Amino acid sequence: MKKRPDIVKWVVIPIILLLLAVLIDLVVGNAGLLFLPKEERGVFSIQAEERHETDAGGRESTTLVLNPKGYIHKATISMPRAGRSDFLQYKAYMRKPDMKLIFFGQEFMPPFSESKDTVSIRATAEEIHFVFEEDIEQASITVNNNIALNKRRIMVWFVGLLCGWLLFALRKTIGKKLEIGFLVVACTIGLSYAVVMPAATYISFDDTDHLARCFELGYNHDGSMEEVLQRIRFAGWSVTQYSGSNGHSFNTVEDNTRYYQLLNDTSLVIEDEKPTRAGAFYDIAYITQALGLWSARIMGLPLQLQIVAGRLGNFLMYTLVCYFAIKMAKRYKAIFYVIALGPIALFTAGSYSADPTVNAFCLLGFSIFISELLTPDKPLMRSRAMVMLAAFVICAMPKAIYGILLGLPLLLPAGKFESSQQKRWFKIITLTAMLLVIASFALPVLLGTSEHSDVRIEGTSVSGQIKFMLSHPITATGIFLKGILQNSLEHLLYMQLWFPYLNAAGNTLYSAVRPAMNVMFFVLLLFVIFTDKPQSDGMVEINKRQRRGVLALLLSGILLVWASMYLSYTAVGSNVIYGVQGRYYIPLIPLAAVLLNMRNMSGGMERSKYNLTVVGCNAVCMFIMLTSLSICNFWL
Amino acid sequence: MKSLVEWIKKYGYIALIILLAIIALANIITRSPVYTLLEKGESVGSVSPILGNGTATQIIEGYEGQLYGIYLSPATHGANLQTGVLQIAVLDIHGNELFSTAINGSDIVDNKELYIPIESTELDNGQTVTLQLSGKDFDEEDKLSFWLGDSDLAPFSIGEEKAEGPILIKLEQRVYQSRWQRGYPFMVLAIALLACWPLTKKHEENVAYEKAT
Repeated sequence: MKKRPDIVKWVVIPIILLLLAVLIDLVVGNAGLLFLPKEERGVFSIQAEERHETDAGGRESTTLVLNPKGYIHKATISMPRAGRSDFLQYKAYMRKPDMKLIFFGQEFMPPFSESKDTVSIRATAEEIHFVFEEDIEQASITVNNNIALNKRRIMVWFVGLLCGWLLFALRKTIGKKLEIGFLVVACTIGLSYAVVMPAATYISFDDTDHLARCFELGYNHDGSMEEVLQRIRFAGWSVTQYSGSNGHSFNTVEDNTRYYQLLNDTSLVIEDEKPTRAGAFYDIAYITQALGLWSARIMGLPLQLQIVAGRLGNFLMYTLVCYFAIKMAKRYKAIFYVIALGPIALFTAGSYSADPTVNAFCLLGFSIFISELLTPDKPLMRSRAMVMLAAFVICAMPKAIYGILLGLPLLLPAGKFESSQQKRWFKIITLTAMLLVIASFALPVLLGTSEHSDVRIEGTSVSGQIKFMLSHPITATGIFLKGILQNSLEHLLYMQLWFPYLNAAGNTLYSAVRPAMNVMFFVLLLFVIFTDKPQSDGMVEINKRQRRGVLALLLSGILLVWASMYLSYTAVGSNVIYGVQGRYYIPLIPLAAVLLNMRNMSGGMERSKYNLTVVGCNAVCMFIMLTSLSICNFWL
Repeated sequence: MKSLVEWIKKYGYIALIILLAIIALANIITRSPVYTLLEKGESVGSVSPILGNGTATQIIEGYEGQLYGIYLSPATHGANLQTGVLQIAVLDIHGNELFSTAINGSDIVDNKELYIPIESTELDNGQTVTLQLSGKDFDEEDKLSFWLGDSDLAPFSIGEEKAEGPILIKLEQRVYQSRWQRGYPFMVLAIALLACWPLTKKHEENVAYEKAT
C-alpha cells in the first residue's frame, strides 16, 4: 500500500512529463503546420526561377526565386557539386505579404557530388530568394510540410520538466542536502549538453584538439586518427571558415542527419602493431573521455554515439567528483554548488575538454581544505589529507599553473598536527609537490625549451616573450597590470555559457537571452559568496594570517593565468595580452569566496529555503541557456 | 573480505605509494616507439607536379629514427583518378631501390588519406633517401598532380577550389622516446601522498571531536 505513491511520484509523473514534452514539441516545433489545410501538407517539389547575374567586377551570382502559394515549413535545395571540396555559402531572404525582402539566414551547401542543404523557413511568404555567390545550375527544391517530432528537442523539453518536478518532489531533502539538488540539476540539464549537442567539434573550446587527444589515448595511438578527425571536423570547418557570418552548416535536423551518415560511414583502421604515444602531463584529464570512446567502440556503436559516449565519460567524472566536493564541504556548500553548476563549467563538463577535471578536483580539494582549516583543533586525518592533496595534484596536471593551489594546505594551523615534526614533514613534502607541478610548466619556459607557444597565433614565442620581458621590465609590468585591471571584471561577467565558434549563429532568442542569463548567473554567484553561512557551529573564522595567505595565492594564480597566456598566446612585443578567458578564473573563485564571505554578512533566510532558492534560480538559468543555445542553433 | 579490509587499512597507504612510484619509474625509464610525421621544412626538395605521365622526386635527408610510412592525402575529387597507376619508390643515395609499391588510381578517392607502410629495414639511421612518385598510364585529361613535403595545404582541403587538386605527401618516421611525461604525474602524486605519512589514522579522535562540537 505504501509503495503506490512512490510509483506515481517516480514513474507515472515522469511518463506524463515525457508525454507533455512530446506535446510541447508538437506545438512549438510544428506551430505553422498544425492548422495547415490538408492539400498544403506533405513533401513536394517546387519550381524555382534561376536568375544568373554578373556584376561589374565579373563576379557571377545566381538567385533562386521561389513564389510559394502557401506556408513553407522547410525547404531542401539539391544540386550537383562534383569535384568541389568547399562549402558553398548562400543567403536566404523572404518577403512576406506587404513587406520588404528581409534576410533570414546564412546557409551552406556541403561539398558532396549530390549536395543537399535544408533551410528552416516556417512562414507564409510571397517570395523567397536564395542568393549564391557563384553561377550554379540544376538546382532543385523540395518543400517538406510534414509534421515531425524531433527527439533531441523533446529531450530538452523533458529534462526541463523532469528537473522542475524532481526539485519539487525532493524539496525537503534538497533543503537539508544541497548535493542532492546538484545531482538533480546536473543529471537532467547538465546531462543534456553531453547527449543532445551534435556529435561534432567546434562546439566547445578547442574541442577538436581535445577530441584528438582522447582518440589517441583511447587507441594508445597517434598516427591513424587523421581520417576520423577530418570527418568530425567536417561540419565544423564551415563554422570557422565563415565565423561571424550568422550561420553554420548544420542548423537543421536534416543537415545533422546527413552529417551523421557521413560520420558513421567513416571506418577506422588502426594498425595494432603500432602502439604509441609518449604520454603527456595532461593525459589525466582525458582518461574518462577516452574510456567513454573506448567502451562505445568495443560495443560496436557508430562513431556518432562513440563521440557522445566520450562526452558522457567526462560528464560522469565531473558530476561524481563535484557531488563529493559539495557533500564533504562543511562550509561554502552553496558557493561550491553555484561554481560547479555555472553555465560554462557545466557546458564544458558535457564537452571534450580538460577543464572539468581541473574544476571538479579543485572543488574537491578545496572543500576538504576549508573544512580542515576552519576546524583547527580537529586532527588532520591521513585519509582526508590524501584525498585533498591528490585532488589538488590532479587538478594541476592538465594546467600546471593551478599547482599554486597546493599552497593552500600550507596554511593549515599547528593544531591540525600532533607534533611540530609531523607538521614540518607534511608542509615540506607538500611544498615539494607544489614546486614539482609548477616546474612542469615553469622549467621548460625558464630553460628556453618550452614548445608551448601557440601555432595559431602568428609571432608567438615563449623564449622571445621572456627576452622581451627581461629587456623591457617596466613595459611588461604595465601590460600585465593594464590587462588584469581592465579585463578581470569583464572576464568574470562573461563566465557564461557560449559556443565559442557558433555564437554568431544569428538567432534572436539566443542574443536576447545570453546577456540576461549572464547577469543572472553572476548575481547568483555574488549572492552565495556574500550570504552562504556556516551550517554547523563547530567552525572558527579564517584568521588574518590565513586570509593573507589565501590572498597571496589568489593573486599568484591570477598572475600565472595571465603569464601563461602572455608567454604562449600573445605575439612577442604585443601591448595587449590575448587568450585569457573567464573560465580560467573558475578554480580561483573559491579563494576569492573565502576572502569575501564573512559570517556577519549572512542573511536571515532559513537554510532549507536558502538552498531551494539557490537551486531553483540556478536551474532556471541553466535551462534557459540550454534551450536557447541548442534548439536555436541546431534543431530548427 | 574482512581480512582484505584489514589489510587495506594497514598497508593500503604504503601500497598505493609504492604502486604509484612503480608506475612512475616504469614510465620514466621506458622508451617506446613514437610515430611522428615529418613536418613541413624538415625535408628538402622542390614542388613537382605530374601531369598525365611523369615522375616527381624528393630528397629526404637527416630524418630522425626510421622512415615508417607514407600518407597520401588527395584533396582532389576521385573522379579524376580512375585510371592509371601511381608508383612509389624509396631509393638510396646511389639510386638503389630500397622500397617500392604501386597504387591504382581508383584507390585514390575523394579526400581519403591513403597510408602506405614502408616495409623495409633499410630505412634506418637517418640516411639520405629519395622519394620517387611516378604517374603511369593516367589519362591525359586526368591532370594528376601532387606536391611533395612542403605544401601548405591541409590534407583535407575544404575550402580549396582546385579542379585538379594536389595530393599531399606526408612521411611518417618512427623514433624511440622516453615516456617520462607520462610517469611524472604519478611521481608527483606519490610524493604528495608521502606528505600524509605521519598523519593520524585514528578515526576515533575525529568522531569524538564531531560529537563535542
